[in-house]
Amino acid sequence: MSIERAASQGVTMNRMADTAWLSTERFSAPDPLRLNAARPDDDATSLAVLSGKPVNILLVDDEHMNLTVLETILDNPAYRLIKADSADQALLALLADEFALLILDIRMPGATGIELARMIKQRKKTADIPIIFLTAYYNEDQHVLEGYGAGAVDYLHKPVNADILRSKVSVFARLHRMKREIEASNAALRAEVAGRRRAQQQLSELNEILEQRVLARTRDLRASAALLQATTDNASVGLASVDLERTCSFANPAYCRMFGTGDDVVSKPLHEVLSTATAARIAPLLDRAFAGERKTCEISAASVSGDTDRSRFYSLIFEPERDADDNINGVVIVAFDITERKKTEEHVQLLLREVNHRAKNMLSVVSAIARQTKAPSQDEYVRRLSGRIQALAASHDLLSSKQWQDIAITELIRTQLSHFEALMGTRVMIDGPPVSLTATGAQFIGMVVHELATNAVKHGSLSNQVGRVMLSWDIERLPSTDRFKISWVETDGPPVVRPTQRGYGSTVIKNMAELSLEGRVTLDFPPSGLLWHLECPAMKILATDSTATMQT
Amino acid sequence: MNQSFNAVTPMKRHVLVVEDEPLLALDLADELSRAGFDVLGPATTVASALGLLEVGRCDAAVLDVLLGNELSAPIVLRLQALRIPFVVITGYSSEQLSPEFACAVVLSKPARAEELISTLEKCIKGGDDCSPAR
Repeated sequence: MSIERAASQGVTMNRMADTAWLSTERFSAPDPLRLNAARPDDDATSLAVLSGKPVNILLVDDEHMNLTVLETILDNPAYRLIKADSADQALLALLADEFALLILDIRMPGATGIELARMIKQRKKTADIPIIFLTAYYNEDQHVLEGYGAGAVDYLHKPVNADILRSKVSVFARLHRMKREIEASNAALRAEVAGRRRAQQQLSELNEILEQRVLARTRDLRASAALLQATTDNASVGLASVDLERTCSFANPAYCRMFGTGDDVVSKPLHEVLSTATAARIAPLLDRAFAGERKTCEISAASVSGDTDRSRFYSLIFEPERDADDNINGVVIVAFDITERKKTEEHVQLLLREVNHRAKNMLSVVSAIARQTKAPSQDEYVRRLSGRIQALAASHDLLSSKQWQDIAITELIRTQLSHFEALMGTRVMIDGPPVSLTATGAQFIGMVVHELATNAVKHGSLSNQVGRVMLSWDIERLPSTDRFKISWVETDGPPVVRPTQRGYGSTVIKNMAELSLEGRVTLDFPPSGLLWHLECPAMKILATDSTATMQT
Repeated sequence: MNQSFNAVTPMKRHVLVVEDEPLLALDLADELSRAGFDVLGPATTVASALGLLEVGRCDAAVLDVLLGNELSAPIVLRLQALRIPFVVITGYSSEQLSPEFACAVVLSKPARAEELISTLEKCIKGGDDCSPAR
């Protein structure tokens, strides 16, 4: 309101003068030379072009003519000129925009330029905007202006010298720009500081997480170290490591046990821990392992000096140990107890030798049978020999399936009489307690049954349609010893003929029994049919537990 | 016993046969008596063999290594002590045999009858070169 009043007071008073100063020679056409020459606001132009955004300048004058003149003088892409013809308009403009400079006519109707300036300076937001006052006469307002003091306020006398005005405006524009740039860089700086603070915050959060992870990892490591410790402590595999000085740097209990070293092997030289012989044996292997080769060997605990089980065998592995740079910094010794494997190997060797022995024995038996077999013709010889070899093979199958012990007598007899399956229970009867035979006993009974059956088919009761055979056995309990009895009785066969020649058959059914079983054999040829009877000590022919079973 | 032929020597040599496999023992005895020897045994155990050595005359022996579950080593020692030559017949290879058999003449099973008899005769003629009792 005070502005309006002041404005209305001074309108007529200054109108003429104001117009006059602006329309003088100073504002004729611009000098072509000056246009081309370096002008004070040239760098303002370039600055504006460079920074891309013109600075705002507020021109305040109640005289439109004067505003137009100012506009013409200050026409420059670096400036955006806002015109206001009253203090009110100026204040409105100041609210809407940010200004680099105010060019203010002191004398205006309503609020005077001075009052407007005071209001501007009082408002915090606009207090720093520099003001150039335009004064009509020298001295007139000098004292008032000086009241403002400091550099943000300047003044020019009318008539305005365009160059001076441009120069001053340029200075303020540059100041404003610089201020803006400083503010911008301040803002950037603040942003950076904030960014750093944020980064620091994140960093410390990460640190926290990391620390927690390290803690968790340490816990895990401790657990796995404990597990490893428990594993190596309880492992049956011997584990030790040797460093570059050939000093034992670690050994688990199994290793100490194997080499009888006691528990305090760590940091002792290896040759002190092993016997001289063992140390000499493994030294070259250790050298190769330190040269990067994985080596293995087998040693007998007999060569170990310490207090240990000398019957054992160990397999040793020498594994180079490398550091992070892949340099060998030690050798790990892994020791397995291979005693069981060695035993198995020995057992296999033993079995192979035994197999060889048995095969040769069997071949001897076969060649003895071949020698003992007699026949009137070549064909008959082959037939008899192969029959005997087959009987041997059948018994052998049964023997090996029973691992050469406890052969059930019934099973053996049925095997040998398998050709007479159809006659079983009608013409061929077998009867006796279920006893088990020794291998020797089984081989013998097998051979005897084959010979008797072959003879019966050829000459005896199985050579006609009605004859019968009864094969029976029993154990007779005597106070001194048990006796085994077995008999083959033929009936209803063709007339019996006593054989004239004594061949293999009689060797088997008579001599063999007497020789190997300490038995008594009766071979008789009564008219009713052939009769064979054997009686021998039960212990000679029966498996030991067989007689025991019988007694219960 | 076949005692009818004896053209080679006026006095029959007595040979101890030790073999636990009865058929082999009988076959051996058969072959030896056909070759003109008087067979002592056959014995199927160490005890019976040692018993026969005590009571009968013996000029040579043929023996198996394994008799059931026992080794015939005690018989070997006895034969060596008595300076009686002998031939060992076995299914084992000679390096599998125990030290008692180290200097014995060994034939591998199955042995040919002719080979056995010629070896046996060589041993009898050669005196005690295969029974150096230490």
